[in-house]
Amino acid sequence: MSKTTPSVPVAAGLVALLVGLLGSIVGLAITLGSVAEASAARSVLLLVIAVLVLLLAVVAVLLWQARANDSRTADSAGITTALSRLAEGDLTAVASSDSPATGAIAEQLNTALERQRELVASIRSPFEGLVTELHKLGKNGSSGGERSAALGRELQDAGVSLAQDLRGADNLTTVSQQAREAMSQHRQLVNRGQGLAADMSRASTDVRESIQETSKSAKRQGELIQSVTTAAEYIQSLNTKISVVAINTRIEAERAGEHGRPFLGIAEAIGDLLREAEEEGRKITSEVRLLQNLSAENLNSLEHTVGAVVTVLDFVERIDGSLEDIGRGAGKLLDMVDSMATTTQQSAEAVRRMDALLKSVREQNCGLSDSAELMQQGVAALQQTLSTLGRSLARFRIDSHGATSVGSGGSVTDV
Amino acid sequence: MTAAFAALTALQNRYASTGCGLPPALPDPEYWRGGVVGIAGVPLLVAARDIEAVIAVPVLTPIPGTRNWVLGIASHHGGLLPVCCGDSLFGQPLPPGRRREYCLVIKRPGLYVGITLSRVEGNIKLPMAQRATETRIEGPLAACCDGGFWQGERFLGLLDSSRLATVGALSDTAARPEAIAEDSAS
Repeated sequence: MSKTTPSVPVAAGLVALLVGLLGSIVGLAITLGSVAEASAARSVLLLVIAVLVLLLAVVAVLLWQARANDSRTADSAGITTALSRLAEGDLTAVASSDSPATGAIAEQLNTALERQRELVASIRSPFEGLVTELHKLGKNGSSGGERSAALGRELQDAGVSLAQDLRGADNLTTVSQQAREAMSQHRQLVNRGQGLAADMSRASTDVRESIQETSKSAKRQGELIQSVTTAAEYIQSLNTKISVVAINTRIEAERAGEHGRPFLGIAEAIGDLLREAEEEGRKITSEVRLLQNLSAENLNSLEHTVGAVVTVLDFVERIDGSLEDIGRGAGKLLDMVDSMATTTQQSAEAVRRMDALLKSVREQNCGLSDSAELMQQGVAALQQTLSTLGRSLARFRIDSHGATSVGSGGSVTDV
Repeated sequence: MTAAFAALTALQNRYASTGCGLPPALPDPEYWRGGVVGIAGVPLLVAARDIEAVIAVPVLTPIPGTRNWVLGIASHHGGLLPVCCGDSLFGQPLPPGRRREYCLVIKRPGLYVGITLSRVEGNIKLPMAQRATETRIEGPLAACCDGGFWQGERFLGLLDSSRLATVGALSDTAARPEAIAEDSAS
């Protein structure tokens, strides 16, 4: 029907065209008739006109046949048109026929089209919801996958941090153990130092007592030296007296003249002895004075030594007190180190447990990521299928608007 | 003192055993003999003929109106002996509370006085070859010496009693009026 309907105007057009061409050629032939030189051309034009007349006749025959066919198919044109629209997917087509023979067919066809429209509409309604939910599911799956990937990265970072914390806890445990050993050695050294301080205190006390005894002896020695000095001075005064006697003896001997000469020898002998005695006396006096000075210096040194020993005793007592304080501080520090070691071990255990939990969470997250990926792949495949189905459904026209949309959730092609 | 007595005893014994009378004693012209004393810390040689004796400083009776170096007057061998402080006369005065123990008694015509000594060393015999005509000591005592002797590094001035007598201070012992007024006031 669609071929015969436009063939009539085409044939009419062709007739008109042929008539026009024929007229033009006839005109041209009349024009050329006055020219003698165009006899050859006039014969060609006549030939063309003959061909065109022949074609015009053929077209007229064809037009006549087309008119005949149109009259035969006029009764089934409504059904044919409806079927043609149905074949194109237009379910809104309505078959009509005036002929009683084709009227039943047109009615059955319309009924079938009505059912197909209802069926397509019933398919389209859940399909729109399915498309919408699938769209949401696709979005959710995509965002879930991204979140899962982000969570995986965060879990990876947290695992690295936990590994570092665990290494730090292990190092801290090792350091705590070393600190405990060092503090134990420190306490032993402090105890040894206290023992040494006690020994030094006793030794200093002994030294002080010994020096005090020595000082007493030195004082007694000084007294003896003073006594010897007094005796030496007395001897010196006696020597002086003897010198006086010797001088007076010489004076008297010279005054006695010849009879006093023996006394001159006596006086000279006494003088010689006196010189020796004075020389020895001077030596003794000098040495005794030197000894006295040395004794005084020794006594002074001893007194200084006693003072130094007393100072040393004071220092030793202070050192002992300081060592006791250091020992107490070391004990407290050891307790703190023990507490820190215990806390560190607990922290390490907690970190290990957290690491195990984190590992489990990572595995589960990997499973979730795989599931999300599989779900995305499934959703993509489903979307592809739905897209194909949507395009197939879009071919069916079920209302007068001619829309192929699948509802408010989006078109089928959007899926 | 024991050594001195032992020496005397040894001398006595030797004299008793070897004594055969006094040998003719000839003066030894090669040596100068005398005593060594010290006045005001200056060592001096005194010849026996110039002095009467060396005595311990006797009990002195102060003489009012005399110079400060006049210590006083004492009884000596039945006579009165004025005693002068050698330190104040020829050097620096002694610190208060300190006193000398011996004094040199010089007796010659026109001079009879005791001078305190700072030191008594005894008799000495010096070779005449060491005699020095020039006095190598300084101070007021230089005028009272007639040369001296070298004893090692030490110069011993020879005290001359005749020069000592010419010292003006010994011939005028009267105190100045203002000093007398100060003494009476005190």
